[in-house]
Amino acid sequence: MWRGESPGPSWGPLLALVLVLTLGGLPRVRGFEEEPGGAHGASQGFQVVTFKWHHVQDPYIIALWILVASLAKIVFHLSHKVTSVVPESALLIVLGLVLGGIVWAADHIASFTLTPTVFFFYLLPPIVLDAGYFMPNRLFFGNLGTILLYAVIGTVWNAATTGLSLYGVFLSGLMGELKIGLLDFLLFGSLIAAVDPVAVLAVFEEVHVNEVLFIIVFGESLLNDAVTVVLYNVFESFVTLGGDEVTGVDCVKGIVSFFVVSLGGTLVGVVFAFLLSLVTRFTKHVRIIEPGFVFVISYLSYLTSEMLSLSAILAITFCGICCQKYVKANISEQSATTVRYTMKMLASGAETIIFMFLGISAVDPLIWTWNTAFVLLTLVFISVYRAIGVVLQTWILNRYRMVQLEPIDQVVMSYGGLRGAVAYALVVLLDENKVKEKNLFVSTTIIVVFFTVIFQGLTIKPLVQWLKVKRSEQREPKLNEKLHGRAFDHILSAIEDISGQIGHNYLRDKWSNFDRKFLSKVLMRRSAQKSRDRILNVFHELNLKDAISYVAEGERRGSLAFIRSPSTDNMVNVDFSTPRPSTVEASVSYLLRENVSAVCLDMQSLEQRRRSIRDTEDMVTHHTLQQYLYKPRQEYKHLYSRHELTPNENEKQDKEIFHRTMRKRLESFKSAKLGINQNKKAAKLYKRERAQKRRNSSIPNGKLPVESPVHNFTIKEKDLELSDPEEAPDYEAETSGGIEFLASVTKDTASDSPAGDTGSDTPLIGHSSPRGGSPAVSQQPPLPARLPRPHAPSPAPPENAAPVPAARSSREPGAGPTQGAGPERRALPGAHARSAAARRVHSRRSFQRPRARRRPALLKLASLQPPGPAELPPHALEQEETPL
Amino acid sequence: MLFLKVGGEERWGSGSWLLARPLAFGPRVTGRPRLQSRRRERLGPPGSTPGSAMGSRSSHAALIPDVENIRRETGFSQASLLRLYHRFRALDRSKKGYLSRADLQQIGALAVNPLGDRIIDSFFPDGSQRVDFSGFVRVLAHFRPIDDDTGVRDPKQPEPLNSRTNKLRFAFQLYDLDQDGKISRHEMLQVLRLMVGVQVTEEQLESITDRTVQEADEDGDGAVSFLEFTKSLEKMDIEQKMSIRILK
Repeated sequence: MWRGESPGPSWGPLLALVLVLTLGGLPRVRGFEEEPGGAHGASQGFQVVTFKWHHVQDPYIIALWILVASLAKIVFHLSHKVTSVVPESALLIVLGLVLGGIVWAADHIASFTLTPTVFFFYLLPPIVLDAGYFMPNRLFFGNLGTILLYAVIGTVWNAATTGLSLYGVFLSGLMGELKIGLLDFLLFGSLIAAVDPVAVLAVFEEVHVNEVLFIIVFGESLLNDAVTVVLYNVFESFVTLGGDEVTGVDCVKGIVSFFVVSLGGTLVGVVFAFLLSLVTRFTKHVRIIEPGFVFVISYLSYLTSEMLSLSAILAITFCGICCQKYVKANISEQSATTVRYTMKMLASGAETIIFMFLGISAVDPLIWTWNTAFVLLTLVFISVYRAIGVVLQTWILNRYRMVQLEPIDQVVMSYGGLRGAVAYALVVLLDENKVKEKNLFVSTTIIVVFFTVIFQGLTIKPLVQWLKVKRSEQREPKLNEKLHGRAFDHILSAIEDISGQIGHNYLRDKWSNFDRKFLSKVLMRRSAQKSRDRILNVFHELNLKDAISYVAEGERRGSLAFIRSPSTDNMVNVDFSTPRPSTVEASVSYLLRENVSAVCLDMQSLEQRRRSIRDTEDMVTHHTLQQYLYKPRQEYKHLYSRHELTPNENEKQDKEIFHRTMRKRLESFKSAKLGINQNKKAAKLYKRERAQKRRNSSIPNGKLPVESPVHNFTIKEKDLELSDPEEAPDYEAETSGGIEFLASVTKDTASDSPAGDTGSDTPLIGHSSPRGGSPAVSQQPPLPARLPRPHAPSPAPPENAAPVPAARSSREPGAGPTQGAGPERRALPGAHARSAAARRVHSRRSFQRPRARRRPALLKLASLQPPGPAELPPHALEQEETPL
Repeated sequence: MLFLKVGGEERWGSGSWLLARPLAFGPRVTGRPRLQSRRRERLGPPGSTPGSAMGSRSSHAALIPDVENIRRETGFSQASLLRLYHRFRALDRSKKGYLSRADLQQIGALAVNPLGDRIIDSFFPDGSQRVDFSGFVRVLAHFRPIDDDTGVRDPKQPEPLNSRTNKLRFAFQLYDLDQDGKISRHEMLQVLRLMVGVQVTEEQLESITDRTVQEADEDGDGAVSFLEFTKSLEKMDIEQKMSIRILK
């Protein structure tokens, strides 16, 4: 692990150890192969307190380094200015250099370096797994051809040209005397050729390039590992053999080994992904260790393929890519969150450590051998040949690609060819006995890495900006331009979605058929298989991400204030998620809380804004627009981000828009299908809303009128269901709690809100009903508007009957909303206002009670065909809601 | 050395789907014929697609009804048309030969696009409930990048769909719901409401709307005509902003 070669004095007090960090005494902390020093001689007889530094030395040092690196990150981010200009990786390298310098100055020995073992076994896998697990699959496979070309041909090209050119220059004598032959040069070329996933991600993370470009560079850096491994191994063995011994057979073997290594690595990854998916299918009763499986099995795939000397990076990448869908569907919400955060944490931490130790490792005079010509030429060659390679390959690719790679993309791709820790680890792995000029290689690699990460990393952002803003006029855009410009962006992205910009529909269809018919059946829980509607998926994912990112917020704001807030959207939400019992599970309650916190935010900022509202200067307007205009998809849909799990704002935005869209669609649907005069109805609703408002006059109303029709029910619903944020985790904790939650929501909603309005939400149930498998959106979804109507409980199938009494028995009669009981219902509107608190208690209580048996009932409910002939007349609706 | 044997060729089976695609470079067009023919078999004989010859590219374009006219009108290349046709067919879930609103509404990403529904509406002009392929493509054609070689165009020919004016008009009609040729204050407010987060209060929205309308409104009628709309955006690079490069 961390090498410690200094025979420094032993340690006494713990305090000194802490001081060490700042005073630069760290090198004297020695590796564990060292014998304890003299201080321990002092201990005689029984001691009350013994100080056993050596006992804990190694883990302690490791932990301290991690702490230092993490603290450094905090410090970096104290200043936004710095991090927005300088990439974090560069900062970390510099920090490493400084720390290494301090250590070295104190001890004149380099004690801590990044060793290949640590790097390959502990630091790299989390990063790559993270990349694979969060890989935007569709985009990745859509561009797989391109990625593979760059990864394979591009890397070979880089290796060959760099190696040969250096050799050519060497022959010309410009480098002076070096004990290296052609093969050494090729070996060096092969290890310096590969674009490094860690560095690329670290830098591209902060440069917002378009998604296709990103995935190409990102994918290339991941997939070129196989090529690098093979080239490296081949040339290393050739060097060992000696140039004369290499035969044609060996070369052929080399090529064969490429296929074995890459395909084998991939296969190992896929096999382990299969295993992992299968295992997670059966973890229902061991939820706690569920996330562990993801990490352990993925790591095993890495180790296995390392053991078989296949491409480990490919293995773990594909393990992540292939398992993500099934794992995400199988594991519980909480486990999914755990997996996400843990993965991000590990990857981000590993990356931090890698860069810091790259810096520290460089401070070691022993490894430095300077050869100006060699170093400079290497730099020149790798840049030039990468550019040439990119241009050539792109030229070929563009003849086949639908999405052309423009010159600007090519510049970014060439410039984004960062080298990193993989190259460094490989070069350190070289055997000094075989490769005579190892030190020269090492120092050159370090220079190259530093140059690419620091210099290119620093400049790529301005470069990208500069290239994009070809005609940047510095003037404040007019309001119209701003508004319409944004509208155009939205239009454009919608058109892209409609035209299906990433093609390959045939193969994708084929695959998804296969997946649906076979793979999912084997790998997914039955409950997870049922409901997989496209649009619901989108919505569901949004909700999940959303919810997760807002839980913390909700927790923080855990107050009752939100209960009264006129947020609108819950009903749509809830009903929408209903047919996704297993995967939704707890997310619904998350969801409610999420909404809630957003509303809270609303209320506060609202107050602030009220104060300044008179101040409608242009500037303010511009500012408001700038801040609150929805961003077009391209700007934020970041595909993969190591450091951020979810961009909260955008999730929120997506959800808001989604709700509006859905509500509007439902409304137009209703008016079209039910023949209700929309205006009349809207007027009624409006009236009712006014009444409601009067009742809750304390509510600040920050939402849009468009959203009005549903919201009074929502309030009640929240009253009922989400009385207390602290309660939420309780039912979330139940694995099957979500559905009961849904069930009760639906019931309560049903009884609370007369048919007309329930209808605005429920068509979604029908439309996405899991029954029948094919999720086609029918033009005329069933009208479940009528289904939960209490007046017609009879048509419910027998399955429905059983759970209802069960549910009712958990409440006191009359106090809570009940379904299917006429007389009780009469009393309801009045009771609503008065005994909200009482009901809250009840509903909460009934919540925590496992009600697994209600699930089938709910599903049935959802897919029920409307029994009754027609709507309730609108006036009935109004009567019901009149406040007493 | 790592020349080791790991399984035989046949064992790649389960993994090879992942690598089956490297040969198709990205979204690609030339590989279609084979796929298309298989797709057709799978789908059965589509009633709306004349032309039975398979196996060559041109015959596939011929699958599209009325392809030449569409091509002339929209300026799409044959390859793009073919691709869009696949897309059209894919969206048309129940294989009815046209798209309904629901077909478009099921595109998940549109549900989170604030203007998604308006754009869907623009596919269904004049209250129609279905859009066939040529209508579908005609809308998309607005977003074709403007050709570089537009030197002298026959003045008698209608302006191509992807001209600056037509792009603007497309956007304009998204705002102009009642199609009176003017974006009224009310219409502007509606769009703003769609596009601005819920945090913004109604008052603010109205004030923004007023400002926006005032800024563009030159004749003082409290509404933005198409001319005014164009003028307010004259500095904007519409050609670039309203083009998708994949739609060639």
